[in-house]
Amino acid sequence: MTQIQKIVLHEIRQDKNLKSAELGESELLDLSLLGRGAALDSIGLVNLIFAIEERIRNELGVLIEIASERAMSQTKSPFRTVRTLIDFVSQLVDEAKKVSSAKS
Amino acid sequence: MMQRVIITGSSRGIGRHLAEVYIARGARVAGCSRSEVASFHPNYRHYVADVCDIRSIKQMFSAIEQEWDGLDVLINNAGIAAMNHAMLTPPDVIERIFRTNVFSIFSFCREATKLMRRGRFGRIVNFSTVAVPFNLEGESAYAASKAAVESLTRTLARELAPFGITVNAVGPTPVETDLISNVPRDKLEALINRQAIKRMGTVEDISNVVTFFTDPSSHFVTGQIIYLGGVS
Repeated sequence: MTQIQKIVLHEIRQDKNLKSAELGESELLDLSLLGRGAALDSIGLVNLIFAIEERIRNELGVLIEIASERAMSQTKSPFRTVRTLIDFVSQLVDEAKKVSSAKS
Repeated sequence: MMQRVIITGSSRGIGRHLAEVYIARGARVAGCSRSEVASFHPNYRHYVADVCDIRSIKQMFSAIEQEWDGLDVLINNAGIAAMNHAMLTPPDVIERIFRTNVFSIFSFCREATKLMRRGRFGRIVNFSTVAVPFNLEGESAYAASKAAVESLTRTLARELAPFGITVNAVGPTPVETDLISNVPRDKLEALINRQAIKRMGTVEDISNVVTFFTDPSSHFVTGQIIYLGGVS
């Protein structure tokens, strides 16, 4: 499991509204975050995004902006499921690392 | 506990006055402006940051977070004005006014909320102007930008309430600052004559309202715009 997966899954489990305690890892990855039947409201999503950004910065030393124009303009939202969110965050971290190594 | 306060545009005028008021009340203050300013007190820290540049804003918040580990108050004071007939106001001037007066508030509120939500407490104060209710001729771009600030204030008040954050705005009358230094005297007098209380505002009038909004006991006051001078 990558560090990013660990961070996202940990923050998902912190959110009591998501009732993720009884879910196994694969069920958790497929958990719907937004849309019909999703447990997160907009405040929950904001809290989740802030918490993930904060931990990515503290633990990986990378600054990312999850709620970017790109995220909001994608036809398929990266916030659909936990899995798509992890993929999106991993992509952002990779890109941020490339930009920072190109600068140095 | 010492309040942790950020004030934008704190190098002079109203922003500088507010920084001094909060320092005198025992707060720690982080101010910012585009120019370097010598610290006037051990509890005051100045950052050189352009409020229109998201990267410099983020750097400032990152430094503040490391030092303070949270935030209680954000005062979005920085602003610019351009007095001219709408037909004589070029698009790039309009854009610059909106970048400074409106878009920067989005960025500051967003970064501030990240810090304030940790303590489930926050006070945000924005700046409007009496030019909004007066629909002043010659201030179309400035007044439109401040009308946007008022709308943003009311909406953010609702969106940030679940985080324990209140969002309000003060609408000053003309005050002797650089912002109005180019406004002709007769225009200022005509404006003052439309107020219930016919005098120029002072920086103390403004800090009186701002400190009311940011007081911890003002937790049930949000989404409000208070105009000075009896303007409504």
